[in-house]
Amino acid sequence: MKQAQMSQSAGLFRLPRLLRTVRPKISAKDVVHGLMVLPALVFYIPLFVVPILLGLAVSFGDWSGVAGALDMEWIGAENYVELAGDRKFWSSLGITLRYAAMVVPSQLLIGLLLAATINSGKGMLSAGVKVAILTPIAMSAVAIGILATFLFSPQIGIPALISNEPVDLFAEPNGALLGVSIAHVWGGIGFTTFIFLAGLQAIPEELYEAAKIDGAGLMARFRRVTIPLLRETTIVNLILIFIGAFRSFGLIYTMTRGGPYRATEVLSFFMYKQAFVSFRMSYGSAIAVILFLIIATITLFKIRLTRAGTTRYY
Amino acid sequence: MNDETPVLRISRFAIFICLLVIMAYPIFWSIMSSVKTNAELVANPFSIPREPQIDNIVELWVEGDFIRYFRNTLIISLVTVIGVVTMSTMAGYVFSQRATGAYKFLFLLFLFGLMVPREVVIVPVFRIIASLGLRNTLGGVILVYMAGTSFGIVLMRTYFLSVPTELREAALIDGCSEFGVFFRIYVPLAAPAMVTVSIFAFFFSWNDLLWPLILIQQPEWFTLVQGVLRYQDEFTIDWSKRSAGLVFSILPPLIFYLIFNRGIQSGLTAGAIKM
Amino acid sequence: MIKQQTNKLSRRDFLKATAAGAAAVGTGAVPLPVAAQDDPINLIMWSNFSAGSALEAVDAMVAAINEANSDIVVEHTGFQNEDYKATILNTAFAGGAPPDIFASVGFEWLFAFVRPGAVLDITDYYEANLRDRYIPGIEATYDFEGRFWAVPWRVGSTPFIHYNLNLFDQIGASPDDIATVDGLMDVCEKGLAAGITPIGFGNKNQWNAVHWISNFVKNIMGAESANALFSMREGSWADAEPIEGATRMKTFVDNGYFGNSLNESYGVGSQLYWAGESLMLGTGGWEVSGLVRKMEEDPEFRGDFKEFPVEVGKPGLGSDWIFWGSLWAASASDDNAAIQARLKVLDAVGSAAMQGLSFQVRQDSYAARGAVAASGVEIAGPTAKYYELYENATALLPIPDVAIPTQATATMYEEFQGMLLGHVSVEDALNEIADAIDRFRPE
Repeated sequence: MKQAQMSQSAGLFRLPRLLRTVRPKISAKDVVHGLMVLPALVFYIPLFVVPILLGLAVSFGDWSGVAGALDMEWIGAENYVELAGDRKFWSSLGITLRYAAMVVPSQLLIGLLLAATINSGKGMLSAGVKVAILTPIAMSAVAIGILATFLFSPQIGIPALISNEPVDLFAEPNGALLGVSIAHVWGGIGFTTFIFLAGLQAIPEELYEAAKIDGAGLMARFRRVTIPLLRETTIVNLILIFIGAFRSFGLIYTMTRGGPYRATEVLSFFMYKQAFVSFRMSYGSAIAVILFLIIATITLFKIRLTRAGTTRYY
Repeated sequence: MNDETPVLRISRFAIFICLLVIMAYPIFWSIMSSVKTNAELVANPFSIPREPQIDNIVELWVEGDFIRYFRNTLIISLVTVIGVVTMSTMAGYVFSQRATGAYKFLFLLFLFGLMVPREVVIVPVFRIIASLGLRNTLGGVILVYMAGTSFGIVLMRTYFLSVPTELREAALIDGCSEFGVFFRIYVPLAAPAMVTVSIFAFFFSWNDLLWPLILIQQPEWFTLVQGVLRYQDEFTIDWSKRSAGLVFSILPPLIFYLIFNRGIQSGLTAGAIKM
Repeated sequence: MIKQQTNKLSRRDFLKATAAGAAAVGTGAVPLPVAAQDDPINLIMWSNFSAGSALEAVDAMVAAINEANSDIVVEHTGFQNEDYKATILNTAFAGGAPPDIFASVGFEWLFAFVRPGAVLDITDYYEANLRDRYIPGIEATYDFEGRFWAVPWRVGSTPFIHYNLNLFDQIGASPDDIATVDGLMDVCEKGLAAGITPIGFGNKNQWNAVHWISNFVKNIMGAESANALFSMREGSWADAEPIEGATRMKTFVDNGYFGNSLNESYGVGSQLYWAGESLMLGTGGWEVSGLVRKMEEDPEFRGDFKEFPVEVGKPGLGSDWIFWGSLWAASASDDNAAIQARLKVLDAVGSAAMQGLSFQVRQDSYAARGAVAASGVEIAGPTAKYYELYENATALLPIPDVAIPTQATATMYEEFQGMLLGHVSVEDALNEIADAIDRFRPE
């Protein structure tokens, strides 16, 4: 016990004086911390980091992804050069941005309104709604996709219910993107709302009281108190939804397979098709690297942003 | 707030009801569909079943080996949850105490796990699992899931950062070892976050299709989601059987969610904002 | 009155059939040079036959093979088609742990695995033991650079049009009318006027239209030139004639002959025909067994089929068939015992006895001549017409995906569907296809 108490400054193992001068000190705390991180690393390094690096390496070669990776031909940055001139790549990027443009504002606005509504309400119903909007987090994208396919199906879905000549949403390019977006927002709205709720609850009640004394009505209070104080939460939410939209794969895979034609072929699905359907693993890996760079940039932006902020939400 | 008008209250009530319908209806609908015959489902997709029947369910469970799939999925999920929550809590704690040098680098490494589309790692991971002789074993799938600690680590770290340092200093003065501080002070405090991490690990390992699809090809070791997909064929769509399978794959995590929703609600927001 | 012995197999019939098949193999119908083994060799066999009668057909064969051979144990797993093709099999090969025996769906697809040396070269064994079993033209599907890599299992013809005689009577059309493309279009117009969808045609899976467009292109170019185009010996998809053929298909879509079924799955499209809601079903030989079954279940239903129409004044389809099918291949190995065991399985699945067995379960197609006779199934009615054509065929002609590099077939499938749905012009689609083929054309 005594030793441990000292550990922070002195170190558990008394190394010979000479060694201590050349090496950084290893304290008991260092050993304990090292051992505590180790298990996670034992799985993470070989089963995630190494495969990622291999994927990066493959993106500089010419491998079909079928067999014989070890004697792959190295072609340098050729895949990236081809990507820069590939119309399909740019159209996929465009589709991804359009998808984000459909998902982000709607999920953000609906989430904000829901959070404000839930925050103002009390009692059973409000609590029930809080439970209900988060249910999709228990479901996989595949399950949500199958459910949405049912419900939008022109044979047995809502279109069949409301019209004798039901529209097939998924036959139209914009319709298909819309259908997937709706499923995406349905699945993600709970998360967004909860983050807004946490932000709302962090706003001190006194600010509202003060505004009320100044004669501000409900809408005025929302505009002058809630909105400015939610700025940081809103930006965080915005970025999270954006990343979610960029990574979306399961819904596309289950609902449209990138179709009709290439209308819903977002970057992640374009990557999958090149790597596995067209037997161009190297090209697919290059797409994955680009996708990763986009997401990483946004994430790092978010980290910087939240670090700068001072509000605590818990 | 006392200045709420009736109009406001009524509209809020209306929004709540709409929300409940939108969120709950698809799930309710799939349960209804699973007890219809395919013919009735196609003819009356939105009605309450006229003659509820459990043929679809019986077929899945009795003839379709669903008990076995259920067992496999349960084993995978339980081991994954225990492993992931233990590793994430320990590593998350360390990263909350150390933010320089190698630790900073390692934390960023884990953070990258949240950004990389996992479709890229399919082939190398398969190679590693196959070379370990772990194809067609639940262990192979579990190993892969054990690498999915990024979210847990980020969330636990955030949570630990919020623990006042006074507690830690007091414990050290009382003669607690470093591990003792972690185990006696931090772990009990972090219980809500650990519940959140467990639940997410559970949802993920229960629902995942990609890894079982790639690593398990013997029907004996199939998971539930794989089992559901077995009953489809390019030429025919048996909607009602599909719904029955779907219901079984989504109900357990859903029930789990309903039981633990409070823990999820608090842990979720804390981790997501400040990662 | 159509009569067919084993249309609906009971479990008991099924077992009997299995035992009979086993006996056929065991009694030396398929002599094999395999060294005796002390421990049976386990063989993993994968396919995309995951449900329904196709799975039953494979299971029947596998049970019979295991029954007849004490030295091998074959374990079959069927996967959902898309997952099998796009993820499961590639990953297993890429990871260096492929199944011993695997089904190839689509043809050029097999060569993607042949190129890096992952498939067992069966040329010598094939030449010595198997070649005479099949129609010569079929070899194009598993002949890669003069070597053989697979045995055919189920192959059949696609250029057929099924029609509903009741609906034809109702609109005043006759089967003779659809002998030409112009006649077919007239019948479609009559259907539209009567408010009936002319042709049930689901192309969500994208392969159905490839067959039709191939037919139109062949009609216009003649079989020989079309074959040269399909196998990339000469010509380009961006040439005038393929564009004319594709435009013909596009006209059918624009005129509404496929109703709303184009963006549906194949199953939903064909369901229109079986439900008596479309005049015709444009598809291949595998639906013949469906027709027999339908007419047995519903005596009111009067269906029949005939060959794909020709264009007046053009060379036409010729007498050879365009076909679809599936093959079985083995993964490469250095171990002689493993190679012998794999050859043994390929020999069995490629034999008339085994294919007759699967024919009992699913009476749509087979590859080894004599399989129908071996199956003991009495052929009558529409089926007879189909099998007479098949048993007497002297050659089969490929559809494009036999020869076009796998990297480019995805483009072809996608561009055709995009063109039909109106998202891209005919010229742009065909230029895109021609570019993709050029880019991945083997040197």
